[in-house]
Amino acid sequence: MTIGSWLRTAACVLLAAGPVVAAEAPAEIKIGALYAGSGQLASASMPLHAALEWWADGINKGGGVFVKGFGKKIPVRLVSYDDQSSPQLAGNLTNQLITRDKVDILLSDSTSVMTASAVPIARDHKQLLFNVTGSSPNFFSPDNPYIVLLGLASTDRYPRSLADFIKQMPKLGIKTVALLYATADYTSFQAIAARKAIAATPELKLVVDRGVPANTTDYTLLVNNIAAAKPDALLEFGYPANEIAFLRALQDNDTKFKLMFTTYGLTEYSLMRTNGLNDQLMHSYALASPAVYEFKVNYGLDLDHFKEAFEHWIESQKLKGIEFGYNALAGYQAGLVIERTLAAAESLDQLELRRAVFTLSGNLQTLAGPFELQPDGSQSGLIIPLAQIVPGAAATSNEPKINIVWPAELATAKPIYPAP
Amino acid sequence: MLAYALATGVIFGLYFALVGVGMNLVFGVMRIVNLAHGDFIMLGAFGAFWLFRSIGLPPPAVVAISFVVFFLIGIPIYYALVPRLFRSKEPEMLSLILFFGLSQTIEAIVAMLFGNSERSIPGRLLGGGPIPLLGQTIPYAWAYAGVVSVLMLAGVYVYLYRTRLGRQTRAIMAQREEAVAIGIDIHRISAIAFGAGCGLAAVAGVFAPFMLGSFTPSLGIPLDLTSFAVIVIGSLGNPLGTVLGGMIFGVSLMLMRTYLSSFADLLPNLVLIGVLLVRPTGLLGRPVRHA
Repeated sequence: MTIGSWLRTAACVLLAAGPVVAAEAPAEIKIGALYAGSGQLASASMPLHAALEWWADGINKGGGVFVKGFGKKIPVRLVSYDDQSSPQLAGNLTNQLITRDKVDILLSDSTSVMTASAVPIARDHKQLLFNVTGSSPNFFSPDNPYIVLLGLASTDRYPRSLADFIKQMPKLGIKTVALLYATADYTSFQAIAARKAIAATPELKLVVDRGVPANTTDYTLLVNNIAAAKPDALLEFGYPANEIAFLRALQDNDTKFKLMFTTYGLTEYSLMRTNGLNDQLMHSYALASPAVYEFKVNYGLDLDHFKEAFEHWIESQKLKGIEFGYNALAGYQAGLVIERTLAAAESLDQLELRRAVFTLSGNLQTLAGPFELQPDGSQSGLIIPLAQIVPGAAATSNEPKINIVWPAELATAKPIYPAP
Repeated sequence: MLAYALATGVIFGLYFALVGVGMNLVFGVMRIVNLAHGDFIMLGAFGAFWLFRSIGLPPPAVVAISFVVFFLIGIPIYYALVPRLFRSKEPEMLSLILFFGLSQTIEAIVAMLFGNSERSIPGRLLGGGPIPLLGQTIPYAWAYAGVVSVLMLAGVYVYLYRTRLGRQTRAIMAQREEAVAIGIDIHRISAIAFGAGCGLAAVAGVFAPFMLGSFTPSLGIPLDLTSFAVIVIGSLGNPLGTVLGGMIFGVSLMLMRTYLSSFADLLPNLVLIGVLLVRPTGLLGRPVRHA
């Protein structure tokens, strides 16, 4: 063979191989998402989805999201379905997003209840699940690389500051504690963490330990039974619908506890206030979630600017009944993580996306707090301080004051006990 | 604790009877299942939310307005849908599909108009504080709802057993073809029963925020299931059997919430299964003889 024919052959091989080496950029990045447009979890899910829509709109107005593998900006398209708060339907729709819509990025709906059915489906299809707020530890295992948690620490780590505070309760004079929780993963794991902390504190006695179905919307009987046991502290773990009913039962029965903790008292404070329940929350305790606690940000908007933008979006889109709270922030956080992941990903291969997400761990700080991943894909960065809600500075102010009471190094005030 | 659970169970039982009685009345007269019944309750709750919080009407006015408005809404809905159902071969089966569609439509429209967030109404708007009961307290709203439920159920009894229209209604419930043969205007009586069913649902809806803690546009289907359980335990097609069904459902629920709260939803449904196994016609149902 002559040198000329060698060169011709080599040129043919290179030409044939060319398109394989440089994959063609897609016309759009498809992001699959589910939301609960109705049902028990709608109030948690709708703000999250609205924030995601706002983020996608902003990205597209800027020409799309930069994808490193293609070296250019590509528009994003949100492919969303309403799972109606039904885990079974969420499973079917997750399957549909993967197999029919062939989405590039797969997001789960808000809450562990709705995420549970998506986890095995994503794993079976080898599709990375961007798990937005499903923080149940059951979802994460070292042998499943197809899941990463974006917001919240995994539920067994999430209430760490509450668990530590429980151990300090005897110093306040607290001797008896009651536990009331919805029997869903998210709330049960928090109750387990609280129960362990109580058991580890010999001066404390658990006088009531009640689980209720997550669809419970009437707490009067339970509140009365707990009040009859006269606990020094009541720790209540529920979803927003549970908490509205719980606080309503306190209001209707003129019942007060000397120390009360609620899961969503701060996270969904706007929703509670819309329902006229802010007085019941006064002097109660809750985790100061990113929706009320200002974290240091190195990417994206800070809390105040995002809140302003989100509320403007809700108004401009004429979206009804959607309140700003942690879930709105989690939707925006999901968008930010997707943005940074694609900026670091060499391709849209699912394991490459996972690699790219992990490059953010320890380097990304958003308004939702530090983004730090464990090897199993769960979050560990976010340690949420415990806060007490106290009346605002001005007597006429609608905004409460948030006193951080634990951990000690972040505390801004001492706990007021018993509640006046 | 047991006495308190039983007492609150009776109050809830009366309320659950009010929740189910409208659906049972419609089934008894028309032999159709109104799966939009829970959505009329939900609409009643939204109406009460608006009347209480925006207009500030007193509770008796809210109850009266809700009943009258939904009674009047129910009559054209009857004439638009039900006579067409009767012309089909399987009106009972088709009614399930038709009213399920209506239910979904109502829910979607309400969700679009008002959003999906939970809403609640402070109990103080009914005008009283907690009432002492057996060493504990119950919300004033529960007592109010219990009394209104008794009055509405008594109204159904008086209508069915003490009025001419009621006698005609019972005639249709007993034997539809014979009622037609003796000249009863089936559609007129059925339309009134359908309107009354909607009105009763709306009154149950007025108290839903107080009895159920909060409400959303998705309230309808769970309330349909509760209504089914209540009326099947009592007797399908016998409106007064609903009272017994409601009592059993309410007391079971409250006993479970007191002693085994994690499984609070279980016992009422076990009771339902038990009743269906032992007396498929319901506790007050009469055996049907097929010629």
